[in-house]
Amino acid sequence: MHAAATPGSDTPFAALYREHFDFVWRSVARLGLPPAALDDAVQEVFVAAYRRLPTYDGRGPLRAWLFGIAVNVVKMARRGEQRHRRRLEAAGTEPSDNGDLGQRQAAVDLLDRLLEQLDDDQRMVVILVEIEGLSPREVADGLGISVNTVYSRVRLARAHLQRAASRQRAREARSA
Amino acid sequence: MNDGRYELDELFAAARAVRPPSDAAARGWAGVQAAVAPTVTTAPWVGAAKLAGAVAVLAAIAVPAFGPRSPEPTAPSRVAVTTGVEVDAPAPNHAPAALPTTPTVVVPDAASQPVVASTPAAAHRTPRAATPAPAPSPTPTAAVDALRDEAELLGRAWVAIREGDAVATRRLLGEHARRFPTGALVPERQACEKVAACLAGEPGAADDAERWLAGQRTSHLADRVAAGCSRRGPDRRSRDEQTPSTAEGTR
Repeated sequence: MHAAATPGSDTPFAALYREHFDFVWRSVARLGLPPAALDDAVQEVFVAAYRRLPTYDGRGPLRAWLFGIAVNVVKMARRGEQRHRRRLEAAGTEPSDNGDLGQRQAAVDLLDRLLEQLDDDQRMVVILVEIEGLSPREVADGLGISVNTVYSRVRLARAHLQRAASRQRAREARSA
Repeated sequence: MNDGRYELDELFAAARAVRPPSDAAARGWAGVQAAVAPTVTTAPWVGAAKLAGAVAVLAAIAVPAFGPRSPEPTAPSRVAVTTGVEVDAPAPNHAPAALPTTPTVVVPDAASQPVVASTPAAAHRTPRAATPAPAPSPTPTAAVDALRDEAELLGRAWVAIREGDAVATRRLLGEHARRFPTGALVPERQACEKVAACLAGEPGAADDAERWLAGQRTSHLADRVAAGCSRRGPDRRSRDEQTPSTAEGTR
């Protein structure tokens, strides 16, 4: 007997999907995919999770496991996205980014640009610790690194981001 | 905001407040269903649950039994469907994820791009213009944990089969039966039991598998059981070692 028999009702994977959808969606966005690519990338993460469920050993939190899948999916998606962006730039066209975004969206956009400057290792721990609120222990277990390494990466990443943010503000002030 | 630390924390807070568009989860679910259960035509949620286990078993059968685990099986080389970004009021860091319902700031969709079906998953995507499938209803974390535990048990059972450890295989399958008598992956356990019996050379196992297969013609497990039961014998491992893994290619 299965947990559910009608569309929209409950199944274990549906529960997993619902519980972690926002997290995966947000993580994929912070990992650098543009809005136009998010839906499909998130979908790919859950499809891959479906297929890789037997490989989850339970040692780290499920979110960190999903995040690892998201990282791989985003890497692949970004290659295609960069090709697309280069084509647009070559044609003298910037990708439309939706007009009036509002102050919070502008802050998110700025953070995304700053995160782009980090290496992959630092970007991952910053997203998980500072944005998604996982504990350093959870991140360490999920990524298979030591807790000290997590702390170190967070510290270095924050310092880098702060410097980058200051430079960005200075540039904006000069151009204003 | 001259204090860099303060500014950075503000940026993090803004990122935490971002929520997906209100219909993104439903759209995504439709796509996930289409990608993982393309042949299921009735009761799609049952099919999805079955296929979750089927895929788990496929991976367990194909990978442990026929070759080493492969890296990430699928990943998109191109994604395309357009969506907007919605931002609502800041939420607590650890608030349980839920389908968003009342976004306050909506960024309109960017220009649409054609879908490039570059992966098997992409090839089965549901057109986004279609009415989204109903999103999953709120469910307890326990259901997720149960699915994970079920899959883990069956995965370990397949490893035991690969290693020829009949005692461990029986113990793991028995544990699954005790803990999850009506679990989502019961059909997958049954398939595992059939293959285990065949590989152990139990009398009548092949005939039992044949009978089971007769009622599973449309099951994703059928090919796996047929393969597992037709490959029994002392030379199975040596044959496998001479044959490249078909783990991904047969999915």
